[in-house]
Amino acid sequence: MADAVPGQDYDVIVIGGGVNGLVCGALLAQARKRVVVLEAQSRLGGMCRTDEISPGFRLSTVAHLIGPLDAEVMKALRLAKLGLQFSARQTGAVALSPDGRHIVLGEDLRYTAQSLGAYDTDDARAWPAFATGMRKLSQQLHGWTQLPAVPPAGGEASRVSLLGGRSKSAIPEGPAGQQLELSIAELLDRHFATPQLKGALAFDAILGNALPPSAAGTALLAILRRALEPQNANGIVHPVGGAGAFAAALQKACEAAGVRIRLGAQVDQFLFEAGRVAGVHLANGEAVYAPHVVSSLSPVQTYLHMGAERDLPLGFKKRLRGYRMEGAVAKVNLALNGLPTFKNLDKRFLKDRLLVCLSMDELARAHAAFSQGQIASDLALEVTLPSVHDASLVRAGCHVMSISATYVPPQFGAQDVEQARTSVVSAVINRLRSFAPDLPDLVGAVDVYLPVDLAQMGGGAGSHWHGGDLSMDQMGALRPVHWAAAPAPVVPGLHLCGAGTHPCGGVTGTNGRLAAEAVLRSMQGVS
Amino acid sequence: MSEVNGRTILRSPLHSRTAPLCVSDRWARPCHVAVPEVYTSESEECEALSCRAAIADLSACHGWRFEGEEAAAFLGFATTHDVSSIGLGQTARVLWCDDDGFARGEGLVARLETGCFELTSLVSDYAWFADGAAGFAVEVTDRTGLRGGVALRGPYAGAILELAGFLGVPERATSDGVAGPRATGWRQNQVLLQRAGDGFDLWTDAAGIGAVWDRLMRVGAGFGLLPVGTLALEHARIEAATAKVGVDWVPAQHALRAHDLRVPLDLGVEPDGLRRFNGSEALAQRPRAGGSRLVQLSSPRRLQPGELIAKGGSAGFITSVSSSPATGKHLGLAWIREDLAKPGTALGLPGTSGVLDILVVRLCHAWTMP
Repeated sequence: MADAVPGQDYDVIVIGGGVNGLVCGALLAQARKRVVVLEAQSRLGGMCRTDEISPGFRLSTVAHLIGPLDAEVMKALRLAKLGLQFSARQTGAVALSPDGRHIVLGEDLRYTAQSLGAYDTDDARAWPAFATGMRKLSQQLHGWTQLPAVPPAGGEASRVSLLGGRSKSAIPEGPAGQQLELSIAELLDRHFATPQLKGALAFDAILGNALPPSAAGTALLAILRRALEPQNANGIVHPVGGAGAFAAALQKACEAAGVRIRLGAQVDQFLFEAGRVAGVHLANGEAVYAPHVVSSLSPVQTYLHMGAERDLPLGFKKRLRGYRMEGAVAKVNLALNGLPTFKNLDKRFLKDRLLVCLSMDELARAHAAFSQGQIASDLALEVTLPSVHDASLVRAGCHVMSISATYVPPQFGAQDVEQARTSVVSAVINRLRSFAPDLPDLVGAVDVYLPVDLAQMGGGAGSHWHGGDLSMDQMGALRPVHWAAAPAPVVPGLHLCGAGTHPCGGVTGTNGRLAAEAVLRSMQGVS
Repeated sequence: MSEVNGRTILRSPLHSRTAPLCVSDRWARPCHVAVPEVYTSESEECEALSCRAAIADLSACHGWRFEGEEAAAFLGFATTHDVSSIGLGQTARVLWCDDDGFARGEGLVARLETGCFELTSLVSDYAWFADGAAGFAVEVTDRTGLRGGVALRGPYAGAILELAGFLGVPERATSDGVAGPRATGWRQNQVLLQRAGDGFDLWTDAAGIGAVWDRLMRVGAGFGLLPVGTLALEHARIEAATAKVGVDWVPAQHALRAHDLRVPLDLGVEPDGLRRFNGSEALAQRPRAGGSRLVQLSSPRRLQPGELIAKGGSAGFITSVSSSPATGKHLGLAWIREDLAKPGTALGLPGTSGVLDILVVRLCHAWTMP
């Protein structure tokens, strides 16, 4: 451990014991820094949690899929040795159709082409080239997701930079790369005609964001998840025991590295000394000192609501106010007294993600209702059945279903939250009834998280699935806003590690790793 | 308020006074407000400015008030000037920058009370200050349109002010733009009297500015006081080698090209290097934006905006031109390469009748005379 500095309790304070906070804390402690993780809640993991929604029914209640996990984090923290196991690798998805002509979007391109053939032979022929091209682009983008996105120095370049400059770690140049600057709607319209295919792919790309499919740059989201994934890695996975098991493994890694973890420690203010952050003030009146503070809270909460506001450059403050981080996804968890039967769907596909979105028009209509604070009847749904591959979650013969419903507004106008909760559940179950007619009869218990619930649960992390919209103006060197990703922290001593930082949200651990590396560079006086 | 070609044109609170005098019916629209460009004769107005006394309508300028116990702290952080050093009733010129240290605007700050300042500018940038004030105990209010202002210029301006009852005329502005104490007799505490350039600015609420105008016009009649339009003021500005925001330099928020961005030093303003203000960190890394300086040029013939040449290569470009009917001089302001920015350097301006010979007269400074 580093030598104690008089007046400083730790070398680094990490605010928030979610995945990125724990990863950051563990990596810093491994580098022999004295680290404390301050978590406001009574348990660690943030959105990564496994809850029992009804006696005998356990599942990942909020974040339902893990990954693509950062390879360096997995290696450094030896999570496998700490008991983390995966029950399934999520390789594919199925675009459900009410008439049973489902489209399988898996790794086997021929299989997808075959299922597409039931709709349009041209689309079936176009699919392999399209999927291969996007896969190549995602591989080219992988390096960008793993490195800090540093804005180019001053002047015009910094004003127009989207993803950190068109250098080695930016979007690939050329016509193929330029496609990623399109909207997902435009990209898909250029290649395909089948509404079901376009609806499912568009929904899968924008899932978690409050953006419509017509928003510029959403084409990039179609490959972002895969771009995060190193070759030959596990991709998106289900941990045995749910997402809470992942948080538990990270907790063990922190403890093994010597991180001090404090639960119920609500940070309300930063403490400053000589123009830099010198510690934090807790809601219980206690002060904790360290020369470096890493926050996994949202950028807006961190910079604007905890006493750092007056030290911010004016333009930075203004841009932060425009940071879009309102959630659009509701999570509905169902306890089922049996396995639902999806029309004409082979049971082996129940391990995959099931996508319910029949066209891009449907998605656009749902977004229009969302923009007016209303809940559309045709919500787009992503459905998983974790109990199909992890029997430890439920009692014999029963199942749990995890559903992410898009777009659900953060505010509901005249409707109160309880009414909205009921509306979302009935909209989701009614929607699924046309694909799995026996589902309503199997539902034993329901557990719902609206965006407003996620905001409350996150304690300052916000309600957005990804910690802020993944749009071109909020990605790379511009995430969360221009300047925040500069090598020297905007507020000396204050760093971000949450989902609102580069590369994006999701449960990857990359944000935490990049923050830990930035803190270490800052400690060494290297920018 | 009216619309011309789809653009909203606002009326100054002095419109009822200036419109009958504007015989030429030539109007300018600074900050979307209609003010006379020329009242009767451009040459007479230029002569009044330089030889007698002139009055002009300033009401178009933007004005923002900063009130609160941290008004000085905020304004000191938001601008390049330590406004806490401004005494009660004094004024100072300030420049403000974006986070990258590029100039966004300039204006005149007056300290009305200990915790109350008013900033007057030709740049529309209220939201920048209003949003940026979050976190400080200061309230920023937009007074644009709620106040009226007149400029009194010329050799007899001081005498007219005294005779009109504005006692204790402020001392001449010092080199850093700080002007002496405000003290007005007539309508004390209602009229803000500021030193500005080689004259004075008087500000009061929109309803009261008519009375100020009338009083000055009545008293000034014996001194040959003449209302002057924006064109005469423009000639005087270029003669004084003063850069004008929006004309000679583009505010950073409106710049489309990197070479349009200017830092304080480019504009002849050298901020206190030890003081932290918005953009100071970036300026510490990059004190100068480009390799050009703004200079005043003189020419034997009328100048036109265009690209300058020297030794066959590009030397820079002209941004303002003036052929004053009063002085007969043909002057201009231009951004030219730093190595050419010495008084006496010869440049050329290509035209249809050959290359016009031009001389560099002197370096310009940032402060705009409204």
